[in-house]
Amino acid sequence: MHLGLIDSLILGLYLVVVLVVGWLASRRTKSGTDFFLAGRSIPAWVCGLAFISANLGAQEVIGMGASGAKYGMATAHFYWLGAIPAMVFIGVFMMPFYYGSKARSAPEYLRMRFDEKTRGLNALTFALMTIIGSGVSMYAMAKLIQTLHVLDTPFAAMGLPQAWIFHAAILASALVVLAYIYMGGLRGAIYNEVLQFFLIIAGFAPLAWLSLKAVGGWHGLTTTLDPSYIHVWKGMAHPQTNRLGVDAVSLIMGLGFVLSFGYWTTDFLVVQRAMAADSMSAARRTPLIAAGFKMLFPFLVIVPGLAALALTTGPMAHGGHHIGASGGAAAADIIPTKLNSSTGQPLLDADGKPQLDYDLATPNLLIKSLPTGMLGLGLTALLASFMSGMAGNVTAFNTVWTYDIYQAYIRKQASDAHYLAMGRIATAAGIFLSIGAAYLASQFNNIMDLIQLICAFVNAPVFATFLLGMFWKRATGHGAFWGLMAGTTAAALHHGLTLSVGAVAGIKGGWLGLAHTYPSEMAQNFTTAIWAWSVCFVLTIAGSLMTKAHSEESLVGLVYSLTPKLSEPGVHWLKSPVVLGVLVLAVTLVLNIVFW
Amino acid sequence: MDVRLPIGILFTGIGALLILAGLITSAADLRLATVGFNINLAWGAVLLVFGLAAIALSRATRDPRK
Repeated sequence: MHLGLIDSLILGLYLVVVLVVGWLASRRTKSGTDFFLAGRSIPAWVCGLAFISANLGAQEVIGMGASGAKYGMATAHFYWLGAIPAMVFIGVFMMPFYYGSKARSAPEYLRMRFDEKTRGLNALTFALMTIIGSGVSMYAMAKLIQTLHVLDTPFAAMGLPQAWIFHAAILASALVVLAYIYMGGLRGAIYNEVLQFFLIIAGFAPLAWLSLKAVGGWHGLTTTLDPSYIHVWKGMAHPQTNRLGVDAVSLIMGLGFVLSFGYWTTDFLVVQRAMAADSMSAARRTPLIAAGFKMLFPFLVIVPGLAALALTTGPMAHGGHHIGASGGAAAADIIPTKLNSSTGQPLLDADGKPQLDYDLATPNLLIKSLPTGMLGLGLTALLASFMSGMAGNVTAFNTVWTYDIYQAYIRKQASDAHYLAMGRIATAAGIFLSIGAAYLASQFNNIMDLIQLICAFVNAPVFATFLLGMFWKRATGHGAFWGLMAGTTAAALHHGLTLSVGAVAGIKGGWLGLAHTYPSEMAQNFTTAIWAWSVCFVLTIAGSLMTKAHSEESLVGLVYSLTPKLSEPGVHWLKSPVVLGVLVLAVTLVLNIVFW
Repeated sequence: MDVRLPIGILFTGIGALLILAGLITSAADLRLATVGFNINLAWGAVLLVFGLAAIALSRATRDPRK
């Protein structure tokens, strides 16, 4: 597969526009507030779309297609059970405190509400998480470009060794993201995220439609694949009767409550987009507007994975019977067999059947079903998703570094211009550290597991901290800090003492011994998160009751019961967060029922 | 700054390039057999209209203070 001239022109046009947007944003970036918070001047719809894009990185576009092929439609729980309710919750209940407190970051809210040490702990773990996150995103993209062989011909034409493709892809994407954030700060990132949002839709919508058409529509999918791939709730009563290997309770508690709320309501990467909004009302609408689009994403990212599976294993894969109007010619190896990287032999599963390399489901579908022109658009969309994911991490890193680490511990009193300069330095440093993390990632087979693990360790316990902080005025700084420490330790202990079926002790758990074996990695992961959250929740309460309460005056605007009810005169009722929230939840409920 | 303008310019450009690709690419390379129609031409037109609409919107509601 090679890129035609028009494919390259589409890619080039995208890169030019992205850099111009960064440059335009730089003309309005004169202060720290401009750079780190986009001057709190962005309209709600822009923030809402940026809110989606910022976490639409490698993990989502590639990972959700892969999970769709591996687990089926039940992957939609990450949206319809997880993300959407959490996004409604942050918009309706939590945003008044994030935005209203005038905190410049999520860790800074923890300092205002609790104390310095709680903020410090959250800032450090979060900064580490963003670097690893953007590094993995970068690694995944470079690896993909290498695997798809799209740059082989141009590199050969220039007389460059093929081994440089990986390095060139990492360096080029890093430099583009560096350029637009260095110039335009959060404003540059957000404007580009909106652009990237539309590009991702424009690139993937035709792919989703074409792949579904190739398998004979939804009806074709349901007749080709085993019914266990098609339903989201059916069989969820017992781990053995669904593809995720989890039961409904750990699904609802682990994914629906702890992990999703932990990520969507406390992760500064997402919260930062809403904090940039031009008013409280806009900040609250940001996650709700995002949720309105987000609930349709399973059709965009999961369905192609399912279609790829049907094309690989179904009757049309072998050139036999065609289902629907158009068969999938040359579709047989959309999802290739996973090969052992050292021997080159196919990896076999427990039943002796070859394992499929699900991560290539969506990228291969792109390459094999789109004609030149559309292919350039699809690859540009893929690149846009990597860049937006990376930029989300980098802007969150530079803010947390500058305000919560540098200003808090290294240089307390300096001019705004000084911190602005530090923000730009932190942007460059963050990107160089990410490049380091990307090369580190290439040393590990299981880097994606590491990311999941860090989420369970970092986001799950801190969600209990934020929840108690915002809704229980008696919670204290000491209680919060030690609760958070204990929650993280509980996550580590649970992970160290359990394994999933077939896994080897090490990064997948079991490094302290083996107390329990879970039917799937996902079940283990969900339970780790539930433990982390519960321990943090209980011990924060216990610790708070043992220590002196904060004075009520110091908590006004930070805690629900001590903050006057918001009145937003002049806001049309259709723009009310509660109305929008109920609407979004109702549609999500319908989707759950339709795909039951 | 109105983000609709760069979005409009990008999509107008992509739309035009796709239409061009639809016109000059051979039928075999377009995968007409599997896709059923000239998808470059069709999707290019959709994106072109979207791009022009975004530009028009950003012009129509220009901030009077500037």
